[in-house]
Amino acid sequence: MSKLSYITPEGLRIDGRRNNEIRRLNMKMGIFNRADGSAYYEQGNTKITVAVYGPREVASNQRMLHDRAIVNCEYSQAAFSSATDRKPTRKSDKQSYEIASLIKQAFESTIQITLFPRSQIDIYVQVLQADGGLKAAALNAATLAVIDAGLPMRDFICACSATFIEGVPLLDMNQMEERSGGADLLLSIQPQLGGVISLNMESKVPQDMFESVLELANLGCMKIFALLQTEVKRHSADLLSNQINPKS
Amino acid sequence: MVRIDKRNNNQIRSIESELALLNKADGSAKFSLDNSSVLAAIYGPVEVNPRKEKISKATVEVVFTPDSGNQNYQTKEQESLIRNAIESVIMTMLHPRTLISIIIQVYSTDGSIVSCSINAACLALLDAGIELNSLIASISLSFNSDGQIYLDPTMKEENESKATAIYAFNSQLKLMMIKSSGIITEQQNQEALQLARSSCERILAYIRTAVKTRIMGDTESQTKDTVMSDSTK
Amino acid sequence: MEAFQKIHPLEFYRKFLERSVRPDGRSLQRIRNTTVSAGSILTADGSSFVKIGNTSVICGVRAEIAEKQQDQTTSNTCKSQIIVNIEMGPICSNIFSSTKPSEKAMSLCTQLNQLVQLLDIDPKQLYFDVDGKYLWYLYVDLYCLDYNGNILDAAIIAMLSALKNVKLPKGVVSDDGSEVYKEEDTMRTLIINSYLIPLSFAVIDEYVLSDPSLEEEKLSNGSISIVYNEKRELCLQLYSGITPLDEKTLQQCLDQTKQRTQEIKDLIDQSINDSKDK
Repeated sequence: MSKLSYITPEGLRIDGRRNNEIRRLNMKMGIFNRADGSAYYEQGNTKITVAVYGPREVASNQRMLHDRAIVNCEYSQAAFSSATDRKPTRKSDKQSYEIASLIKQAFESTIQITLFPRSQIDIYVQVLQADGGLKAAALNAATLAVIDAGLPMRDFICACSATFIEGVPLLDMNQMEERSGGADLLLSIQPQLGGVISLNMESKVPQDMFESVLELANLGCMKIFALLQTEVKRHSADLLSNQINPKS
Repeated sequence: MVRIDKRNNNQIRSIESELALLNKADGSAKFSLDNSSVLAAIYGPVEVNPRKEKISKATVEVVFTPDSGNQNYQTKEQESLIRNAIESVIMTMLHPRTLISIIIQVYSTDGSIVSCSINAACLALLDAGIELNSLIASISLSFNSDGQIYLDPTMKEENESKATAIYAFNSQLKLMMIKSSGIITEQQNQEALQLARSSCERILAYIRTAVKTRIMGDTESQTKDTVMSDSTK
Repeated sequence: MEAFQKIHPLEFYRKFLERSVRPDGRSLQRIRNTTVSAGSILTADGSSFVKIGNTSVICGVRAEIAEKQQDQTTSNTCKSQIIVNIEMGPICSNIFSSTKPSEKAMSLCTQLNQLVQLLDIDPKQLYFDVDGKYLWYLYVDLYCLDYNGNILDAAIIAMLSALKNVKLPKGVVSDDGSEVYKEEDTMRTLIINSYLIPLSFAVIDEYVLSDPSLEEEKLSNGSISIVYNEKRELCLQLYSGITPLDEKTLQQCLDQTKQRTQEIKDLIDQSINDSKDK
């Protein structure tokens, strides 16, 4: 197999983006009827739906906390979501569990759970099409769904991934770039309060390049934040206008 | 075309049943159509898990265990068919907040197993003395590619058929459950319904005889009814 | 009024049914707005998304290659080559658990597998190479995303349109049979000529409601599901309930389902044509 060049000399990637460009986002809130909050999120070719239920009664009394709500997350990939092979869904496999854990911890710190003692908030993530950046996309999609559910949060959660291939830091990789063997840095932040929720990295990055990769990921997060905020404002305006002028 | 076991199209296999075989169970019955043999055991009304509790009715639960292999998706569906049919005749309002558990164990399977199970469960409920608003009887049919309708098919006939159907009727001969899958024409459907109704009438008569034999104190709790003749059209 | 609905849901419903209307404004026979959109999942070989009212189901088909089994005769091959699985998890409703498939999901799985075998597919359509030494196996996965009643109809329509949306590449087997590869440039659409026309009903007292919503399903004392094919042959007939079923009612349901034939055919064809333009 000929060596695939992830970035041309002119600085263009396989899909024509520059190194600091994120993929096109397409978002829709409130798509499901039964869930308290839901969202559909597309980042390039990655398509995710999230449903949020809560606050509701805790399933088992043993897990109930007297002073705050429990946040529960389940992450599942559809069997047809992967471009390479059909993966029969196994919600208990390690990768799903790890990603679910990541989302749970992120939202536990951001949702104001002390307002809902003895309750449970459930976040269900279903990946319909996978093309890289799944963890980041899941976090962003879940943020929209939680906002749609009307749960108070301290801030948005914006996540973005970045890598370092062929001497160049790249932002928001698709599946091919993820599999190139370069580092996979996932940064999730609270954009307005300015805190970092989680920072994960797999593989290696030279120490002097690490900061630039981190900077790039931060930049990606802020860009995503702007887009998420626009969508939330648009959706809210929509809801408001429906209230004043209810559609027949 | 004659069937392999030389029966007519409208002939049911010989029925055998036995009541009260188990000591611990509140009610039990064994029902067999030749080689299809099923044991039903009833435990109830008993205490129920608060999650499944219903405040105004009894919860009816069916556990269906096939003769070989574990429970799979297909047996779960059969379980749900049996439960839907049986729950309709039990007077659940008389036992709120309780559980009536029906355990079905298949001894041997040779076609019409869901029907056998429903008939066995009906006998077992009578043995347990649980109030029913009506009896229930069930029969299976299979439809051949040459347009023939076979009553009470064997496993081989079921596998080779184009379609199969399961019917359940109550004492007033009203339709309580129907499941048909496979390609059936309108005419076959009508014919099958009438055929099923008349044969369920005979099975109901058999059930009444079986219970009468048991109650009348006959030392033999086994009732045999061999080779039921053609239904009169 | 909302309090009344919560305390006496059945009484609340009866007040509407007496006037031959349902709380959402539909008449007793009216079916909710159904939309089908095919070909949206690019990683799947065929896909479709169906929404009946608020019930949403997404379906994706993946095709895998396997060697033809020696004992398979040509007449039986198609029967085991399409495997359907439906998942109804807590994402669609809080009644379902995530680990154990519910009884409803398992029953639905079995029924869908039985129905898919009734589709009229030429065995050669599922040949990988020209001679049929290798075969295509289609795995159909359905996910319920939003559960608001009548999942069977949505699942059947989704399954059918996803299958019709499947595109398979041309398969080439090397002469000694050791290498198998796909030619991605030439894609052919899987041709399935038959259709499945479903319609489900809920029986509340003596009223028969078509296309029940979740509340109606919960209040019902019986449920009827009928599936026809395009030749007006009955493929599936299912009734289970606490009260007995009148034969006249059954016949009415059969007739109503048959009347839906053209509408469903148009819906599915339209979605397939739209996906070709994408």
